[in-house]
Amino acid sequence: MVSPLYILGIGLGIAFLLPLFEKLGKKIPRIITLITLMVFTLIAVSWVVMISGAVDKFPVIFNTIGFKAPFAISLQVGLIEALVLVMINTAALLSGLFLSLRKDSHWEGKQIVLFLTLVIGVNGLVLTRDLFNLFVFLEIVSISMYALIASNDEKHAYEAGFKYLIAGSIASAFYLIGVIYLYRFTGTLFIDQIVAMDLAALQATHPGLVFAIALIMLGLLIELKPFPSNGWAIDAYEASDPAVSAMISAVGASGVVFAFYKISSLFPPEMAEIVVASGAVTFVFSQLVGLRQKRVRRMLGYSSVGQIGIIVMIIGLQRILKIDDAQMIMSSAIILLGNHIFSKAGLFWLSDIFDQEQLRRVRRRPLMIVLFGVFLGSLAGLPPFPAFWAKWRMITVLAESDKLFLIIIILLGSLFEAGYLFRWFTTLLRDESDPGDIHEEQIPEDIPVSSSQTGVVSSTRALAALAENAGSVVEELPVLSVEDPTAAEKRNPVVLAVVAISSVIVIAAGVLLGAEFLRASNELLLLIPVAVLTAGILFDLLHLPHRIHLILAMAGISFYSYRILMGLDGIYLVFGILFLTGSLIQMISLYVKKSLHFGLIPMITALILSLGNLLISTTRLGFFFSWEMMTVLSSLLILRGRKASGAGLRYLLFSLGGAYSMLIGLMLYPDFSLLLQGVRDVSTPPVLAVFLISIGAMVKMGSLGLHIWLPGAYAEAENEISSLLSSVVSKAGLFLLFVTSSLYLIPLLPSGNIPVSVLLGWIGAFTALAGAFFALFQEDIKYTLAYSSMGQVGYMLLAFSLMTHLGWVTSLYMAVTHLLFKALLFLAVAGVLYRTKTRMMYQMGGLIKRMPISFITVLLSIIALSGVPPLTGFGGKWLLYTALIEKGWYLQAGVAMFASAIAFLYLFRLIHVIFLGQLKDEHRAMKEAPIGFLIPQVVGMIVIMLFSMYPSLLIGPLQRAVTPFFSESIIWEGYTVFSTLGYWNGNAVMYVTIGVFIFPLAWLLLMQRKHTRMVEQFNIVFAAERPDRPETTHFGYNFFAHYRRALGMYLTPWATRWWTGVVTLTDSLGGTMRRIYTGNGQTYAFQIILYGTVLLLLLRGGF
Amino acid sequence: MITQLLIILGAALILVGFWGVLTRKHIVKIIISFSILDTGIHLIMVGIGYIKDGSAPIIDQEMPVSRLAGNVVDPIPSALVLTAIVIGVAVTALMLSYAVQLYTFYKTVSIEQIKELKW
Repeated sequence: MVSPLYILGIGLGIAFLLPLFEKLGKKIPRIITLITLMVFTLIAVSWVVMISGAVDKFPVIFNTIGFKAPFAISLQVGLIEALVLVMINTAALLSGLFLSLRKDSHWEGKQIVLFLTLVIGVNGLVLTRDLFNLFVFLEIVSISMYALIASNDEKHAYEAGFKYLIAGSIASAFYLIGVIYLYRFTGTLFIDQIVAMDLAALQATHPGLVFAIALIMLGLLIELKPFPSNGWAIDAYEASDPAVSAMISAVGASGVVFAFYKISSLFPPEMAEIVVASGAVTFVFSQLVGLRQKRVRRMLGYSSVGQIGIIVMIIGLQRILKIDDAQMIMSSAIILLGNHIFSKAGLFWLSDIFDQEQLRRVRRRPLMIVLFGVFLGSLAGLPPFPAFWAKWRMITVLAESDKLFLIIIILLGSLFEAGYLFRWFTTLLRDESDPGDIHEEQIPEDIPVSSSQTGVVSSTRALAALAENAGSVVEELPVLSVEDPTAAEKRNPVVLAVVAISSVIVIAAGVLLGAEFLRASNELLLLIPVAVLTAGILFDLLHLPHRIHLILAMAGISFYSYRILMGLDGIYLVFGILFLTGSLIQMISLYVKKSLHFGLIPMITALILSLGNLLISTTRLGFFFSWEMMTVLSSLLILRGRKASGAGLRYLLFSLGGAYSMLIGLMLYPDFSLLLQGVRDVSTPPVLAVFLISIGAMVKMGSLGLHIWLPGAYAEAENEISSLLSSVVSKAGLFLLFVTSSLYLIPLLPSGNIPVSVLLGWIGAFTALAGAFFALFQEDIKYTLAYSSMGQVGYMLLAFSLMTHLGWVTSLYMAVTHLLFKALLFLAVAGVLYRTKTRMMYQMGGLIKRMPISFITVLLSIIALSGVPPLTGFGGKWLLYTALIEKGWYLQAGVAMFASAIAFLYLFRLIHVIFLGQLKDEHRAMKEAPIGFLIPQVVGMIVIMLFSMYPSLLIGPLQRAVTPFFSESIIWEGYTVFSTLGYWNGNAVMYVTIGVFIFPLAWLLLMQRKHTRMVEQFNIVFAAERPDRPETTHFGYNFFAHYRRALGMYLTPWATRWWTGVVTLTDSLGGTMRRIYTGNGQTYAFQIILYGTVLLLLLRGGF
Repeated sequence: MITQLLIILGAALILVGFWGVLTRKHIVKIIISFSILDTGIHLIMVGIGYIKDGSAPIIDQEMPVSRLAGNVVDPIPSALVLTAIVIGVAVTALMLSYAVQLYTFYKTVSIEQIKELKW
């Protein structure tokens, strides 16, 4: 085994000799330093390899200068030290590479020496077991950092460096006083010897002992930048060279964290509690303040401080918890540390590259987007990155120790962090035309008309104006288009490769950890989406042709579906077909796209597989992992929409909020795993858990109050994505409800006997109503469809909460048929948008002749959707009302019926305004939608017709799926279904309806044939004037204005106002909070001393 | 007695140092305050190791190992203090060079006027 002394010896030797090497050539010191760092890394790796072969023989203590401790300084190498050093030295090596390879690199001379001393100092911090030696290494690290901060020779860097110096000096004063007194009381500086002493007994004779330990603790804690006395550190992150900030954050802070961990074995329990509190406060408040931050590096500074805060919290916790829990939670701290090291360094480097290349947008740089996304995702703790697993483990331990409050703090902080990190992401990623805050329809400035113009819109001008409008329509984004040639000159692919290594480390670690976590429950299959995503992104980076990629992906999904569906039955099978087959058919429409669309196919494939994985996961972790994967992938897919950055961010945050709510629920209710495994008789959960889990499901379903992400997300996403999200992904929420159905039978109030499901039922009913109302007043066709989906899912929720056999059959029936007709609608509309290049309904009209197949699809699907006979929707509504009336929910039935009447209105408008009426001038030469759109439509129509004629084909299997849960409530006779209230024969309804329709039609044709006169389209007398806003003259504009007037205040978007209020409040809280960072170094010094005093007083329990 | 005096003096210097750090506006005065603070800590360190009438910690015939306890001055604090002084000098030097650079950039020595980074 290599002695750790070599690291220190080689490092110091090289550092001193570097100025000499410089005489040999300018580049020589760089090369030598990089080799040295590589040697450090290899030494640490060799330790890990050795130790993992023989864990019981370690840790090994190395003595220096031939004496044993306490007579000489000793260094310790155990597994944890070796692991941390591997991470730190690798990060240092990558930093070195970055610094020497980047454009106009000035990495030479003193800077390299300081860099090397910093790395040695950190290695020493990790290795040493001597308190005073720790101080020396701490100073080596600090002095190197003070000097490095100013290395870019900029005004602000000097200011920040000086504040850092002040703070650091105060911290070391604390530490030194503590150490000397501890030495006085114990007679030794060797940590292990002090730990072995009976400190409680010693405390009796030396009352100052705790005070001495507290000062040591305080000295290190200050170096770890606890909120609120950390303004100096954030300044330093902001002002110094990003590569240096990366070093401070990744390497420097990690060393100090480890030293703090080492010291923590001296802490008495009450001190450990204070440390926990300090870490938790730092985590949540730094993230809160970060929300307000617009300057990127400063924001990253807040994030760094927060991340270290959570590790400090864990270090405190491991002193309080039981020994097993302590080890578990400490392992999560190590993972979090590694996660932070590589992703934060990566982000600082990326921010430097953005500056170097003067990039304001990265939308057209696929590799950069990938790297950026990986680092942000791992920092925010999204799956499959290491922090996700670490946080899961940490939260599990906390839940077992009943520390709910800390869980909430952690999740709240994580949500804030995801908020500002992904705001940065969406800002950089968004298109130039995207203002970034689109959540509702935007009615465009209409065709410009001068006052001299009257009558018919002149063709050329109209076309030009429309072309302009067309640019703003959601369209596929040509990621790999040619760009500004000067940008290419500024590029430096080598540096990007260094950053890429860091991201590969993060991904690999995440996957390995995932395998480790999921292996225990035999759920390794759940990692397939990650593999598919990685492979797919690589294919895209290698420019694999779009269609080949698509076929590969669909073949893969088919194979996966085949394997999965074979093993499923009952409700699981229903949802399996819904998720997998439903998505697969919709993927056909992607065939229309010709060029490469970066990331589109990999993400869709991974999304579908994650949905499938929900069905086969058997543990809480597996389920939550797949759930989060699904969430993250769908929000990334939404972000592809040209103006979807705001909506995508909102979707992500709402979904994460929902997922975290669900997570707390899962933690409160460990039997959730049993539910997934199909066990029925489980323990009664706490009501809180039930609420939290159902909130998770309802966010995904867009239930009233939690729906405000929905319109923007569904409407601003690309058309294919909208279709997939609203018809398939939203059902994931329903699936969660079905899986956890037994939970909703518990009473809502402890004393009452009304079950929670009644509340859900009302929410469902009002969601249906509100969705229909909102859909009524949209001009933008995609918004209409988005709100319509919201309403439809509301019906499913309502039917589900009936908790009867018929209710569940209805809910599933609606889920399947909604998939069919909503996918059809979205696809048909996608075809229309593809041709017309506008989303505003009033800009369309008369398309029936141009796009007949699309018209038939829309006609069929709106008949199906609105629930008029003879198509499937009628069956759905019939079942729903029967079920509601059987249960005695008359009021809910009334609301549902009212909602479906309104639904009919907006559907009528949809078909009327788009397909009937006058054909627009610019649409005369239009063709039917491309074949790729039409194939899935035709398939869907055939299925709808089939289910309409023979309802038993669908209801039969659903009934069998539900039967294990309830006794049967409907019976069959041939193809006729009987319930307690009546019967439904699909065939008969079909024939009667056709008859009812055909007879008057024939009569009309017969009677009118003599008197009909065909008119030319423009055979209309125009008035001489043209109004300023021509759209107002179109009959399709503001179609239901009279209802709008009648409804008045009931249309106020209460939910949007409420959530806007929440955001504003949080934001201003952060804004007020950050006023403590006055910028004055002396104030910071005062804050530090005050912080120390308060902590010491807390420890004493008062004055 | 003399030890306690030393420690009290050290503590007083520490307080003076902190007071200076918190109240002086002139950067150089703040740096001097840090030096005073350091000196105070050093005095305490020396004071802790000192034993009245103790001899030098050298083991020979006069001073066998058995008689060591209570009769020789503890050498460790003295060794520590030397290290601490060296570190203190380095930090002070760095602070002073910062002060020079800050003056060239900000044209002021008042810490209250060097606060462009905040929030």
